[in-house]
Amino acid sequence: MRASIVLLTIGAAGLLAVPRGFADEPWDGGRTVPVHRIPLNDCEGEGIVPCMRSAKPVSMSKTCGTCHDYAKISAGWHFNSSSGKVPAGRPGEPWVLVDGLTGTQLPLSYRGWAGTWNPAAVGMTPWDFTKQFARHMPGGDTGEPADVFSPGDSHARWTVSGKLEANCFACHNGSHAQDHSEWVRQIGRENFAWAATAASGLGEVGGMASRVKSTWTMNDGPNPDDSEYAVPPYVKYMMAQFDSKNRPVLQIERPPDQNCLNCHSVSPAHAEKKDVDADVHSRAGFKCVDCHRNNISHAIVRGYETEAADRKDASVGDFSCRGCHIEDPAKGGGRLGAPHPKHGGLPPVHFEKLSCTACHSGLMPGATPTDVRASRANRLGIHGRALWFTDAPFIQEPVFAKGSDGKIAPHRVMWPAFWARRAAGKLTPMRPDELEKSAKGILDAGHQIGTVLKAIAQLGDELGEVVFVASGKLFRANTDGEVDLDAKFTPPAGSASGFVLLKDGKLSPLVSDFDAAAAQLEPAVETRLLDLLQALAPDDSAVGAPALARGKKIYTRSDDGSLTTSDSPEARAASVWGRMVNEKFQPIVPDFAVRAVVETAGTQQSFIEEQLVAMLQALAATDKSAEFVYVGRGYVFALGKDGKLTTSSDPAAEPVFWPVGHNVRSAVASLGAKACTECHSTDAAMLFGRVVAGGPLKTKTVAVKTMVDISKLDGTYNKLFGFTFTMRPLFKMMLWGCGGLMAAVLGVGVLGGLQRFARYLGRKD
Amino acid sequence: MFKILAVLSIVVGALSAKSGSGSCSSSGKAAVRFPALDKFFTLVMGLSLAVLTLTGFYAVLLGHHLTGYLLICHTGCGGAFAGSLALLALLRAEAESCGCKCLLWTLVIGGLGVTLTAVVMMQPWFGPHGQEMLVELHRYSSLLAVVGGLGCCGPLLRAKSA
Repeated sequence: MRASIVLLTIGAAGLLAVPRGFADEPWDGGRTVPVHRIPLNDCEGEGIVPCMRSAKPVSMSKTCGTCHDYAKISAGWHFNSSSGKVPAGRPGEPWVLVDGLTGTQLPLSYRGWAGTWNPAAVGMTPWDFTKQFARHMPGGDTGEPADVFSPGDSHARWTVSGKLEANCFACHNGSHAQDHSEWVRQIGRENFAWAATAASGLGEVGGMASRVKSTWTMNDGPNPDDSEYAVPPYVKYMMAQFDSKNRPVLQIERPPDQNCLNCHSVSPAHAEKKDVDADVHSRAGFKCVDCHRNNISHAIVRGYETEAADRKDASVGDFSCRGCHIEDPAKGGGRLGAPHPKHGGLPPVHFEKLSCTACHSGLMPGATPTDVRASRANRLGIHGRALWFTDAPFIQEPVFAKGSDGKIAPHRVMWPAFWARRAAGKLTPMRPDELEKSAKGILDAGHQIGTVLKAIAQLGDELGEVVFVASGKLFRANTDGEVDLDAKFTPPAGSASGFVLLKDGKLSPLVSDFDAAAAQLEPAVETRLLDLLQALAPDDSAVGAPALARGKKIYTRSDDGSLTTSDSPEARAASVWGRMVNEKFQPIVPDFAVRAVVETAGTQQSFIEEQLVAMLQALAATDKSAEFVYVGRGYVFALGKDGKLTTSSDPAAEPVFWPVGHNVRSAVASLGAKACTECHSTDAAMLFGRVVAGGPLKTKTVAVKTMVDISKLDGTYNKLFGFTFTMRPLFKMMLWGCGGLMAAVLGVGVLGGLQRFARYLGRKD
Repeated sequence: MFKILAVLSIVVGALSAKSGSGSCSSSGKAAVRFPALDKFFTLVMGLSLAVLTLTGFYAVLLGHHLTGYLLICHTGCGGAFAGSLALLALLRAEAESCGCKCLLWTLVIGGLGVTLTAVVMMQPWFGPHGQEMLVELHRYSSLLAVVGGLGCCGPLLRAKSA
């Protein structure tokens, strides 16, 4: 009896024991990736039955975590930025909070890298951070809070969205159905727990967690009261991918480059895809993960020179540039059989002062650095009807600066731009959502014009396309409700301006010319006017009724739909669209907004100093005890006591740098391969290239630095040293000549000595 | 090691300057075809050698790399040294004094060494290891040049036409 009880107890313990992940057992030596025909589990660990309507999305921790140690993996480099427990290592690309309306490009990082702000310090909660940046995160990190009820974060909705677990598929899914764009869409809809399933192609996810009530949870299922708008997230699995035991064959493999590049692409802005070369290693057949390796800890090798010391792990050093390319006699060469560089004629001091990347990585330096776009910062690689990418933040490459190891290396650089409160000389950045109210009517110049264009376009005008013309430039409405300059079309001199119609390359007014002094308008003109005034009627009546001013008359539409005419104190030769505010006529788009759109058209900038002053005044009106400033273009802008704009320097306005790793160029395409004068000349781009502070503000007060300033090098010395290279060929010829002469004299001397020695021997004989 | 040799070379050079001077004067006078040119080149060679010794040994003795303005100065004087030494060697090849001759040949051999290593370093023939080897050769050649130069300068400056 006792034996039976013991056996039963042992048996029960065996059944209840947490299954050990067999993938964590020592590697058996097999070098293949096993077929992953496995059952999928949901967040509660229940097996997913794909044909069920109530099926939940795949949970990585419960599916992949069955065999692989999810806790270890989700503490890896891609998932641990907010943990505060991992050494930050060499600075990397920060997350950039970008807002077009407020001209914000604020570098953020939980890792404390120089020049970045901690998201918490600017009031961003893990929920905010995830909502903002999970589009280019592989899940985990801030997306997987320990407490979904998020005390202290009232607007977090983790119980609705579910956790955004570390998405193993984001990197390891080799299927062509792995869709990063779908991941981004699901993040935008707050379908965090469903995003991995949708992006993997295993199922089709519908509904939007962002629209359902905050009390809804995944277990509640569909909303019977609303099948149109507040549709809760759901998943329909692709049944063809499952076998009779509800197991799909997951195409799991070592991460293909495509998956890495979803978040790690960097390309010159405005370049054509066909003109951009891949990294020399990729062209040679390497995969990203051949060098950027990791074990189950997912502590990925970043590949920089001092990483081994930072991580106290010598094996990491094998995968730096030197680890592979510099010959190590103990190992019989570098790692991976990499070619050993000759570096012929290169004085060894270069290896002490420069990183390998200085000559071999990134874009070739020019008189000014090149504008580039990066996946995470500029929202690249998201495909769909809308254009997701943004020109901001403005990132430049290469900018040569000293790295944390004291060596000069090429960096990418971004000049921060943000509104801030200043107290006791200390700046505290403001988030775009804090500024939105004040910015309306001031910074939204393009939107103001775009709104009018969109309203009139609703008439479906057969007379032509509604466009805006000012200062000889033509603007069209874009899908974002803003306006784009049509650089190809130049309005003929003397053509109509303001809101006009464009048809067959000709511009005409919205309403055909009429005599404002006439007692009665032509019926066609009156009908046209009424249609336009109705189209321009705002949703918010406080904005003011639309009106047209022409001659000494102002035309409005009365509540009964008839045209009302009143006298204007001001005579206008041309028709001007506006609004009646406090019984006074105001242009529908303020003059400063028109100036802003015209001045910033075709530039990187989005607002002008006039708007900056108005915005600072508007902010000051909201809180008279605080001082508000704008940081941008390398300076801090504030209002002086006289109300005029003042500028000052501040460390917060300095650019943020992060080193360039890729693309690595081939040896023949490296900097200095053609001639020493690529770097040693009086105008060498690497030393004397000018870095102009980019940013959304159009101003003449712009910080400009040369590379020697940034690298903290002696510009005068480098000019002089560069100048000596103009005479170097002559110098070498002279040295060869002198050496030859000395050798000849020496030779004659030796021959003379031999002659005497021979004579001496002759005499002796 | 090199630091010790550098100090030693200066000491030996100074001593040989004294003995070389005596040797030259005791054996008569050095054979000089163009005394004015000889003096001029001797002066240029002596001055440039002094600057080269100061800039080169200063960096090495203090454990620094020869960089910055010192490097420009060193390189510029290197050209003057090579040119003046080559011409001086041509002019002084027939010096009669045995002591002077030995010192002159030491200077020419050392000078040839530093000149060739300097110019070869500017050619894309050697990688980092080769470059380091050339730097070492340059340094050790410079020791000979210093010994010979110090030894020759005193007597050569006083040399008159034969």
